[in-house]
Amino acid sequence: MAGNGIRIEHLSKRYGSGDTAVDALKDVNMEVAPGEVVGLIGPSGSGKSTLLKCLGAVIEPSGGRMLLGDDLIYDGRWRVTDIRALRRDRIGFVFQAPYLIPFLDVTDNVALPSMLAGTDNRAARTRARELLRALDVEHRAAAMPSQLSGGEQQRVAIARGLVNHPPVVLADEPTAPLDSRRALAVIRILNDMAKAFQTAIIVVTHDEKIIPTFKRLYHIRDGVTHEERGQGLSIEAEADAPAA
Amino acid sequence: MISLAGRDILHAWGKFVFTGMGLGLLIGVTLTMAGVYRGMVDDARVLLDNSGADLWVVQKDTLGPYAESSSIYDDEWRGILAMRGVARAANVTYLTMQVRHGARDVRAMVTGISAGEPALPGWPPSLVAGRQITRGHYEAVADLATGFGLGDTIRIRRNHYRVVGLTRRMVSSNGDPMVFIPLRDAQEAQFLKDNDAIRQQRRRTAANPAFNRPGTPGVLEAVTESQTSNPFVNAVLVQVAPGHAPETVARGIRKWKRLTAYTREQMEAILVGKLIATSARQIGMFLVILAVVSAAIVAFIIYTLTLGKIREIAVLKLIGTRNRTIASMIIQQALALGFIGFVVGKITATFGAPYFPKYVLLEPMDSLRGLLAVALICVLASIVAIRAALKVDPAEAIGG
Repeated sequence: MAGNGIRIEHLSKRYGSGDTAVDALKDVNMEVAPGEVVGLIGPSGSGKSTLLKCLGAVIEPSGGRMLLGDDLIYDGRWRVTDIRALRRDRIGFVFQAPYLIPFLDVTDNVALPSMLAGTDNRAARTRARELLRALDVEHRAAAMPSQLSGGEQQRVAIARGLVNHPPVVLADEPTAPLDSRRALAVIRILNDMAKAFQTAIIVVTHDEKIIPTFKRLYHIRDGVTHEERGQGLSIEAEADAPAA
Repeated sequence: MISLAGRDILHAWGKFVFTGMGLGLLIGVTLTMAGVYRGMVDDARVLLDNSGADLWVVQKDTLGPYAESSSIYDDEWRGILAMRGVARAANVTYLTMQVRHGARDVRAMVTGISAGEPALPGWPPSLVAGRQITRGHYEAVADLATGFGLGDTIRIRRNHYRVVGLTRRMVSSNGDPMVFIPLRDAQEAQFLKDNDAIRQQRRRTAANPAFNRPGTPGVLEAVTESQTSNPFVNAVLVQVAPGHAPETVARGIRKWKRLTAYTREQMEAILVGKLIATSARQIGMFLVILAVVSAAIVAFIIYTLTLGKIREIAVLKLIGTRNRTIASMIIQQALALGFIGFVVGKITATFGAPYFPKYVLLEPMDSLRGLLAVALICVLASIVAIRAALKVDPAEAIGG
C-alpha cells in the first residue's frame, strides 16, 4: 500500500450553468491515511452526498485534484480510463442500508466484487470467508440476506466493501438504522478493518452516538470542509455509557 | 463468474415457474394452431396417398373432385383403361354428408368404390378390423373416427348399410372420416330423392305432352327410368403402369378423352394451395397475434421484474458490474421464462392434441421453429427492461 490512503485538494462540484448554477462543493480538502477512520459530518444540504459521489467516482467533479494511494485519478479530468474498474477495484462502499443482493448467499454477496474483478470463484469465496471470519459472521456464510439480523447484514456489507483490498472505503451513514450498541460495534469493526487491511475509511454520519469516537473529523458546511480534532473516545467506554 | 440470472431465478423460482406456466399455456395454443394447420395439410396428403392413384381424371376445366364438383360419365373409365401407360382405372364418387348413427349424426365423406379388389384405386388400402366390401350393395367400410363398430348399421339416405370393415386415418381434406360403400349405391345416394319427390317428378313427367304422347308408347317409361338412374361419377382414379411418367399419361388423357387429368403433385397443389389456403391464412393471422401477445407478456413480466430490482442493479453498477453483465442477466431471465413457457406449452399441446376434433399434427421441426421464435421474442421483449436497467444511476445506491 502506498503512503497515502486518499488525498483531495480543492475539489469542487458545480451543478448546472449560468444563473441556475449551484456550487455543491466549493473547496474540499481531505487527507486520510491508510488504517485511519475519519468522520465526515455536516448538516443536510451541506454537500456530503455530493462529496461521497465524487469520491466514489460516481459523478465527475468540476475541479481540484484527487489522489488514491500515490496515483492521481482526477485533476480537472479523470486520469483513469475505466471508471467502473476504478470503483470496483480501488474503492469500497458501505451503505446506510446494507443493500445486499437478495438472491446471493452471504459468501457470494461478499465475493461478488472480487468475481467481477476477474478473480476465480474459488479464490473469491476463500477471501470472502476470511473476511466473514474477521467480522465474526462466518457461521452465516451460507445464509441468504433475508435470514440475517440488521447487524449481521451490515457486517456482511462491510466485508463486501473490503473484499478487493481497496485503499479507501466510503461508508454512507453505516450506523443509521442501528441502536447504540450495534452502531458502536460497527464503528469498532471499521476501525479494526482499517488497521488490519491498511484501508482509509471515510464515514459520513449524522449519528451523535458515534461522532465522539472519531479522532479526526471533517465538517462540511456550504461545500467547504473544515478539519476538526475529534474526541477519539474509546468505543468500549462509549458502549458502557448510559443511553441518552 | 457466477450466473446472476440463474441465482435470481433459483431465489424466486415460484414466480418464474408460475409465470412461465401462464406463458406456456399461450405457447401451447400457438403450437396447437400450427399443429392444426399441419394436420390439414396432412389430411390432404393422406387423402391422396390412400386413394392409391397416380392420376385424377375429372370433368374438363374443373378442379375436381375435392376442390370443385366434377361429373363425368361412369363408362369413361373403360376408354381410359385402354390407353397406353394406364395400369388400373376405377370410378369413384365422393359425397360429404351427415350419416345417421343411432340417435346422432356423423359428418362423413361417403366414397363410392368400384367393384373389384383392394388394390384398385379408391379402395381403403388396409383395414384394422373386419373385411373389405365383397357384395355389390349395402355393405360399408368405415373409418374408426366415425365411431362405428363392426356390425353397426349406417343409414345413408333411405338405405341401410352394415359395417363389415374398419379402417384408420382415412379422411377427407376437411378431416371428415370416410365411409366406403359400393359405387352403385353411392351413385344412387348422390341422386336419389325421397319417395314424395319421386312421385311428384313422375306426375310432372307424365303430364308433359312431350314425353307422354299417345302415339309413342314407351317414351314416358324411358324418360322416367333415366330420371331415376345416375350414370355419373366424380372422377376416375388411374394407376400408371411401371415405366410410364404420370404427366405423359395425363397429357394423353387430356388430349384424347377431352377430360382434365391431374398428377399427384398437381392435385396436392390444388388441395394445399387452394382448398386450405384461406384456413392457412386464418391460422397464420392467429399465430401472428399470439406471437405479439406472447412478446407483450414477456416484455411486461421482465420489465416488472427488472423494476423490482432497481436498487440491486444500482448497487451492482456501483460495485463495478458492467452493463453487458446486467443486460445479459435480463436476457437470460427472459430466455429462461421463455424456455419454461415453451416446455409447458409443448407438454400442453402434446397432451391436448388428441382431444381436438380435427387432426393436430405436431411436427418436431415446428417445435424447433417455435423454440427459436420464443427465444427471439424473449430477447426482443427484454429490450425495454434492459433500457430501464441501463438507465439506472449507480448513485441511487448512495443516499442524498
